[in-house]
Amino acid sequence: MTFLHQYPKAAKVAKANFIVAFIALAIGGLFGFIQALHRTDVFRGFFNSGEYYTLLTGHGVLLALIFTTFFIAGLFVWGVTRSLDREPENMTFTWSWFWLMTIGLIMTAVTILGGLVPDSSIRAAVLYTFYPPLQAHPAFYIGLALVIVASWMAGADWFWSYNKWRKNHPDERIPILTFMALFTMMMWYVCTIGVAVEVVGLLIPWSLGWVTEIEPLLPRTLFWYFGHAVVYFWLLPAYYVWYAILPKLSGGRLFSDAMTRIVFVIFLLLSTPVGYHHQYADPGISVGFKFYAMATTMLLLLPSLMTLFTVVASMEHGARQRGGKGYLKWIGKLPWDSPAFVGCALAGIMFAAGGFSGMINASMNINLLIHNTIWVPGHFHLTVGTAVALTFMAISYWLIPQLTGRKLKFKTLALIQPYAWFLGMTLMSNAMHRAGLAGVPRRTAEPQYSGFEFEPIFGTMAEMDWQIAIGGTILTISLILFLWVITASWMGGEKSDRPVDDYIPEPLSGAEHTPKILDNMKLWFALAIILVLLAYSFPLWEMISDGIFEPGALPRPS
Amino acid sequence: MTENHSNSDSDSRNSSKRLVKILVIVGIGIPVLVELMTLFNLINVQIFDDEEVQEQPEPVAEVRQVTEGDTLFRDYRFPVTIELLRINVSAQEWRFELGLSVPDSVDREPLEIELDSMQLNSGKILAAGRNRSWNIQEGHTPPRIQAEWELPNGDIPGTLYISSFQQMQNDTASRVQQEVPLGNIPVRYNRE
Amino acid sequence: MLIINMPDETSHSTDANSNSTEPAKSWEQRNPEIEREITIDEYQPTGTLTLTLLYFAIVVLMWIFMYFVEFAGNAPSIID
Repeated sequence: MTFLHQYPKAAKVAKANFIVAFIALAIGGLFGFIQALHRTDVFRGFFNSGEYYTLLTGHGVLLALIFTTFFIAGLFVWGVTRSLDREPENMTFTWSWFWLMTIGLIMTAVTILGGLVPDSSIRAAVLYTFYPPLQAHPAFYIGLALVIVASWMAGADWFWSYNKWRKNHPDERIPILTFMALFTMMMWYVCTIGVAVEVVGLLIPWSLGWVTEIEPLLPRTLFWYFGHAVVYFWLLPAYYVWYAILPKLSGGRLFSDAMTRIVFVIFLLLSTPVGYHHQYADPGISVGFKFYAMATTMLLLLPSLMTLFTVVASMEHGARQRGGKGYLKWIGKLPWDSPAFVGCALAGIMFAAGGFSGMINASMNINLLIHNTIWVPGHFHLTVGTAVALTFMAISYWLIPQLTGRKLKFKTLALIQPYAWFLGMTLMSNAMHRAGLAGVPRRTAEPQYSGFEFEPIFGTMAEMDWQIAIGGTILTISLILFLWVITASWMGGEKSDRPVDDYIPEPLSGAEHTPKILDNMKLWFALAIILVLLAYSFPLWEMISDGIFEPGALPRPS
Repeated sequence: MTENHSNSDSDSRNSSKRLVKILVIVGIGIPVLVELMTLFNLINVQIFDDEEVQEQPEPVAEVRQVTEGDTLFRDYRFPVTIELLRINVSAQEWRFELGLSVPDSVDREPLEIELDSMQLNSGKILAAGRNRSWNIQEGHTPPRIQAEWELPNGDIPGTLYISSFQQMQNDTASRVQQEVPLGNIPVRYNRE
Repeated sequence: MLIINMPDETSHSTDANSNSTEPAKSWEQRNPEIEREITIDEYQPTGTLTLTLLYFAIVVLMWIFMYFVEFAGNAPSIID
């Protein structure tokens, strides 16, 4: 008996979400490959440089918003159903959020792809950060709004299940898989308020022509209110996998239940009031507020360092149970021949490296060295592009068999895939970081200028361009391997009652040692709201008194 | 583990071990090597190459660069002032505009101003083409002297060659050419 | 196939998801890949300590290096 047989209805929903996620991954990944060749001038024959921005938007939106959101929905359906031991409460409601989210995705995708049709008036080359002055077709914004509303409904679905479960289990601790999902969704509720207000209040009226002028600062602020927390919306499900499943894949148990819960509480509290660290170069926001955001961002390093400790300790526990010894020798005893384990472990290593460049980005002064350069995409391809994406791919090797009741096929290819991703991403991201230090801009189809030469700190521009292109190619090969293994297993894997060992052992230090207050969701949600109000009310007031609602007026001192 | 494993089983176990070894060397070894080389190069350049950089400072251009409001042919009878110097950008074009003005007193004597050629920062040299010279006749108010060039996108003019046919002190007329190194040219974006 | 036994797919537990009752044999005992069960009291995560210290050492080194890049270079970081 595996998940499919125990919870057939939930398995169907999770599978539907994964199918959409993988299609988005395939298209978005292909766009990424074309970009890597285009902007490095290795090959520019696929599309012209105007269409580059359509591809860039497609790459960002399909991967960062669509692939992640659908995968997370599938993952949480699996986790909540399994840990509460109940199917979704009402299948009509569950399917309605799935279809609403899919309709929204299709609207958004069609407007983006419209940019590739000659003479089409439907276009949305507004990049993943869709704030003015770039304007998209109204359907782009409406589609995104639908995706967000549907994701709220998905969260409500899981809270519904939890409340029903609570009635039958009044004194039990929230199961850890449900706890992490619910805290992630609470953070999502807090942070999506910003983007919802931006899209519904400003962008849709503006794109329909009802409003002609908007001050760009307000939508930028609202976007980044959401824009940094969203990275934790991607990351927390990866943590979900690292905390709940990776210890078992390593042959051990989660080190501490309490640490896990504390980390998720801190993320709920601190993920949102840090958005100004994306606006260090924006005028119109006092430097004090930016400083506050920087301090909060540095505090956010804490839960990630706690995760480093807990996850590594859990892996070490596994390695020692498998016979590992010594200070570092135990690492060799980890199951480096299991694709699911290798993917998650390498994703974790990449994330530690992403932490280095993240600290640079977060620091107000040093940020100006790399602001809006290709360093930044170099950074987030380590975090969302590997820590999250590779974890999602790796855990699919373990989840998809449970959902389809079929064994994984082509295990050798599945094993090569995460190693290839790690190699390709190191090459690409390393060169992106170095090019960023030389001042090469991000989001530029042809980053070369007449009468001006970039001066790399060492090496040459041509060498960096090739490194990006080769890295991108290896990543594409890795992606094709992943899609091939998953499709083949899904369609033709050997049917089995127990295609994988899906048992998850209890933590070493269990919930009985965890303070009860960590489960008090109302308390933490209220604190999160207060912190957001503290971080945003004063700056917004300042903007209003500076005349944010009088766009087009002359600037005046406050 | 136990002896009841068949031969083929242990064969595949060995070959899988070899595969993992290769994957670890290629998939983790090369990345670690790349990062170590980067770190080494960065530290090398940043900390140990500093002196070299300071030893050969870039030669500072002594030439005074000309911008809007500056005067050409300053030492002659009729100085010419640059009134307009800008690049106008719109979705379709990248246009360099130049406007000159001459003193009102010019109407007492003839004056000729000619734009000979222009060198762009990319190294390209543009010849003057038609309608790039102005004759100011005796007794006429000086016309508006303005010229425009469609330049390749992103290219910026570096040097302008202007000549003028001027009356000299000793009542002879002669042609003087001036090389005008252009300073910062403001770029204006035109929303259409 | 080259790899037949994936560690995470070989150990077939009999009573997955029955979190309420303690299984007769612990997960570790049922899993052939695991040599011995380590309880929380015997577990000393010295390897984790080593790795964490290594990570911190790298962070500290990078910050010292950053000082040279940002402050000691005597060159302005931002142009115009």
